[in-house]
Amino acid sequence: MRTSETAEIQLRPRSLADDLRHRTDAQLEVLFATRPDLLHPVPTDLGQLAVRATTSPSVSSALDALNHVELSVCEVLAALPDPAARSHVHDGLSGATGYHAQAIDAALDRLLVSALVWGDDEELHLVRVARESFGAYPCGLAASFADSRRKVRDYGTKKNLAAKTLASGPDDVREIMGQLLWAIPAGTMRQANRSVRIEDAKSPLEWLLAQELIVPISDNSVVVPREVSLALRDGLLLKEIKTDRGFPVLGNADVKRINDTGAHAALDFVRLVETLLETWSIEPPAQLRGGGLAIRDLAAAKELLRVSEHLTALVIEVAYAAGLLGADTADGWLPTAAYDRWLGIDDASRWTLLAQSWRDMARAAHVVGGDGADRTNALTSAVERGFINPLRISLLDIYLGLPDGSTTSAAILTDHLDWHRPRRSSMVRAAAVSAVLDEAATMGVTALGAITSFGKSLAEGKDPTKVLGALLPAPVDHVIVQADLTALAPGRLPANQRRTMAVIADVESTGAATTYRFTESSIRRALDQGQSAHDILDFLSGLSRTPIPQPLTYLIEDVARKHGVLRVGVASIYLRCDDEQLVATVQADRRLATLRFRQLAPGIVVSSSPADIVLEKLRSCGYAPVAESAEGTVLIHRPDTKRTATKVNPAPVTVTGPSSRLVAAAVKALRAGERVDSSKPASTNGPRTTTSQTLALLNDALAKGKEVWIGYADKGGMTSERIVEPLTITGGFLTAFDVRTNEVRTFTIARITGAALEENFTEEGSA
Amino acid sequence: MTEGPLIVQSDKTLLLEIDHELSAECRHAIAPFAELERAPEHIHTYRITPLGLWNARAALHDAESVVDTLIKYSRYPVPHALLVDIAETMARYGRLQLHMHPVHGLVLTANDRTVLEEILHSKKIQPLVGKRIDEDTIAVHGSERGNIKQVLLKLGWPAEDLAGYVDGEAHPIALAENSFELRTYQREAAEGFWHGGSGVVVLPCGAGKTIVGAAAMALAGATTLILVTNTVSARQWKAELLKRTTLTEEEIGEYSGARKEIRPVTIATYQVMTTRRQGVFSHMELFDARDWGLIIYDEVHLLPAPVFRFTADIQARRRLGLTATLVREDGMEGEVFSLIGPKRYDAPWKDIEAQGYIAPADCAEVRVTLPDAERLAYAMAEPEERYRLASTTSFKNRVVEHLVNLHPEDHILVIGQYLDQLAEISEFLGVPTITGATPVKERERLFQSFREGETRVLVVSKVANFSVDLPEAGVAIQISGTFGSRQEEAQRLGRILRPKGDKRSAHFYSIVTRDTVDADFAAHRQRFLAEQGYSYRIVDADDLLYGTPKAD
Repeated sequence: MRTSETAEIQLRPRSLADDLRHRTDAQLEVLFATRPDLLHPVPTDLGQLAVRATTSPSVSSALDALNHVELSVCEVLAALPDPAARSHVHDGLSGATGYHAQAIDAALDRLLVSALVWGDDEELHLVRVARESFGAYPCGLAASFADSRRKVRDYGTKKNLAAKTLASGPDDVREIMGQLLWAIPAGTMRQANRSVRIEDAKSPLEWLLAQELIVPISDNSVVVPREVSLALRDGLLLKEIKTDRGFPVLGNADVKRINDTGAHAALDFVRLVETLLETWSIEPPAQLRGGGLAIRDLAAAKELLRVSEHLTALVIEVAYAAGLLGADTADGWLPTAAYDRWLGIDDASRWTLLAQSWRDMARAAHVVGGDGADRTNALTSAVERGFINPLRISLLDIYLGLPDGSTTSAAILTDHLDWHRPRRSSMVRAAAVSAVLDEAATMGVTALGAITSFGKSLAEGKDPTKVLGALLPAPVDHVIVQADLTALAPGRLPANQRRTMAVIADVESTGAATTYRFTESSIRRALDQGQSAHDILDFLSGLSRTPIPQPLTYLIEDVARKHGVLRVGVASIYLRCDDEQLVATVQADRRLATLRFRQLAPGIVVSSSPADIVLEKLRSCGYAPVAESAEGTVLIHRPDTKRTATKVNPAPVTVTGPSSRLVAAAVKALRAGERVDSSKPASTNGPRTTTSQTLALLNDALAKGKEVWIGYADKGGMTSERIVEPLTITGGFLTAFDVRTNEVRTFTIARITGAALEENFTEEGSA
Repeated sequence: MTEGPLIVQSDKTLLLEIDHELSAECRHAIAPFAELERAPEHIHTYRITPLGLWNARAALHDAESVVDTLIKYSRYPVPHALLVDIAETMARYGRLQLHMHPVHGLVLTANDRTVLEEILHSKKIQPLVGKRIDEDTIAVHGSERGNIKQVLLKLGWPAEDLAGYVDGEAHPIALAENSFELRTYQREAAEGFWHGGSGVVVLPCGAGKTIVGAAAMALAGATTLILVTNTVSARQWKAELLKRTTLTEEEIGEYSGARKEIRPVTIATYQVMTTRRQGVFSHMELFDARDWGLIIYDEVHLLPAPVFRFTADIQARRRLGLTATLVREDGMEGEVFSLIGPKRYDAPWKDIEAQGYIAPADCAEVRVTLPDAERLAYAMAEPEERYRLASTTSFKNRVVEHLVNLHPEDHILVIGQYLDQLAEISEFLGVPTITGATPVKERERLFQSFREGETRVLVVSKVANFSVDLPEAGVAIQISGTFGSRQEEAQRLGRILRPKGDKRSAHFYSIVTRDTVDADFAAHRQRFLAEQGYSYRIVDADDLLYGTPKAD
């Protein structure tokens, strides 16, 4: 007896560490493969591994990876007393719908491998953290009350007693028990902690209490004792084990159609990115102070692309993730240099870059938008979601596992994921699945609900360019121009022609084909960009399969006729003279060559040199010019003679030199400049005070006429320090004399990072 | 360019290449659900709109057939999202139906309970419905049949109106088929309307919409109220009905500013219907004056808003809308759909022209340059004065004179907007004028003299835009118009499209002052006709006057 016990003890592991010690290298490798987090860092010994494997984060992520059956087995183990035998698990589930002994055994084996469960078939232990993760009522079972309550003990031992008792009660009690039986076996009840006799029971709850079908656990809560639940459930721990439905497939589609539809979607997506970035290269949207794109700009982009908000955000985020879009502090969101390279490559390669960026990005375009406080701006870090990339990858993996041409849907895939990863099931995931599928369809990774051939290459991590390239329709080499001033490109034009068409006409409808409309403003735009009417007509007649209709020729020529009739330029001075001969002489005069005269019309030349220099120069060369006022009258420069013309004694001429205050300030500025250099502390950010302190200090300095040292942040966020003499403080603005730049400036008080009285700061600085 | 004639764009436009051998077949297949937007010479553009899809559902086409049609004719793979959207949109029609319940009267029934719950949450629906009869049925106040249809359309759940129509007071009307024969498209249009119950027939000007109305009246065999744009048009309807049907003078009443007759067939003008006395539309009771079996709305694209309101109240009566274009400058197409009914028949202008029922037309825009002095005045004018200044330049008079001389054989209408301009030109040419101020008698006398050939050139204001039957007119010269109105342009062209005895083309000239708002408005006005396949030649007035005159 004793020896056999010893032998048993030696065989049966006493702890997880013990269990692990008995595992072979291969088994440990499987463990690490299932729970890779245990490898970081590599544990020093098995004891440490056991500790690591039972920590909350590690267990939690291991539980996250369980499928529905595995998680159900865990829950059963959590509901059973520790340790439990394998047969107990089967007993508790054998009556459940969908029960398959083999599936349960397989699940249990996997749990043993992953070290969430340890021990042997007689004594199985679920690690404590996992046990606790099921809360107070695993399998909807409360604690046992057999020891403390006689009736409860009887319910547990006498078959059918609980059911019979319940059947004898009023109708309502069965309904209440029905609600408590499978879900949470607890409820609230006022003054639960009292004894009620059956005869006195006035309510169904009191009746249940009197029968001890429910028992109080505190003054105002009751539970169904474990014995009662099990008796009423016939010993069943879970009602249902859902079976895996295998391939999450909806139907089938023709593979060629899938690929063709997908290829067009891919092309369309490339076009969307190009359209957006072309527009943004001319009118870049501003970057918000907190980074990101304003809602207004998102709406404008949506208008431009004519797709939903989600897909607009997708285009923007993918362009950003692909490095085609970047932020410039001065101009806002702009296409990058990589964009120009991207424009130069073929469509399939362009798509590949976008699609790979999409596959790998940790950004969830569908969260962009929303209302009020929940609003999320595109291109901010708020768009990042840790779960989105793994989800995208696992969805692509599911597609890869499906037979060719199988179609599926968001609902089916959500179900599938809910079975395989039940702990991660949520509305958020369901929404994300649907969003990822929408995105995949928009990009052509999937089409008609099935994965495309090039989508497959993408998902497998191979280069999809060639596969896609072979599917793309050949570019068309012509357009059809019509008399209603529209043109149609019945397919995709080569990049060059596409760009030119987009300049000379407005794009009206896009898709497989593109329709353009010629308008006066589109033609004017082309002319502004340096094309001539001749160029445009030449280009169109080269491209058009049909003759250019007369109204279009007329439109182009008509706009060209008016174009540039008014010319605007900049000149500093003009020279006008009725004697054209003289003008010609002046222009030809070599001594005046530096003035760079340019003739605009007979008798009129202009120059960019200032008027006084031109006058001087002309006079010095022997010409006799006079200046002309803005009204065209001759300006006469004889101030001395003019002054005496008045009869009144002239008032003494006041020299409007600098005011004494200004002079003083200037000196101060000089001194301050010296001091700034000598007393500047190591930090270049100036003093730091709170806004109220700053305001108090400024007011004080204003009253006393003292100088203040302030730190001031500019629009770019750079802080500089200045010494100023406050003049006024109104409405959040400080007007002050900046002693270093020697000018009066207005400062936004909110941007003043801090202030110190100049002398104080010097002292502190020198201290 | 190898397969199908159709390109399906992701923005729901359909581009049909008309030179393709399958184009006619394809056009026929897509016509029930797609609306023709533009029909220039090579590529026609159709648009798939919810209204169009619902029209198709009303005509018993299902989503599957629409999707199949697109896939069948499409040159490229059809965007999947578009197909899904079509199926979803079409599934929305008929989820809710209006029925006549033997006990509860008008009821709204749903074959999708969630839709019923959704719409009952709308504040706009709540006042229109009564008590819930069962989970899928709710009573609707009998008087709200039109309103609820309007609101449901706006909510995106258009109801199928199966509540039926009252027969109205029977009154036998037959076509006088011994004197003429109903054209195929006219018969199809009238029958299409009759089977649909209520709805709109779209036919080009001059294609005989009055005849379609008469045929519909014959099918109804009941008292009929006809609403027309103005008195002249009312008289013409009357004349046409007397000629084409068995109706007699005594059976047809005119209800206008001048006369208030209510007879088995009554022709009323929009103007009198919308006349308010002390804030009340006193003439709207005409709708209830008799037990009308049919109400015809002529030029339904011009139907004034108050008439829509009253139309909402008479949903139990059959309604026929007649128009050359469903384009409304006020965007009330949805009201036409929900209150008059879905489009029941549509024939493109060029189709009718090909059949020889309307004359081919040569359209030209003659561009004149504003004289220097007027150009300065124009530049300094207030924006609201600019169109008038530009379009009434007296330089146009000489161009008109020249054009009149170019067509010595034809009957010519000179059409304009501004009375002083009309007066000036009429004096310049020495021909009579008809404006709104001309007494009806005088108007009719002049029209008659024009018809008989005594007067060859007539200067008319916009009174002649509609329904004036001047079959001899072969040339129209437009000198100014109601700004950028597309339908006015179509109406004016329609004036001269009556087939001519010798099959010659009609000529439509629009004289436009270049570089001014006149040209901008002209471009807009021409869009509808350009979209219907009419192309405008552009002629320089200087070339016309001083170059070699180009007569064809």
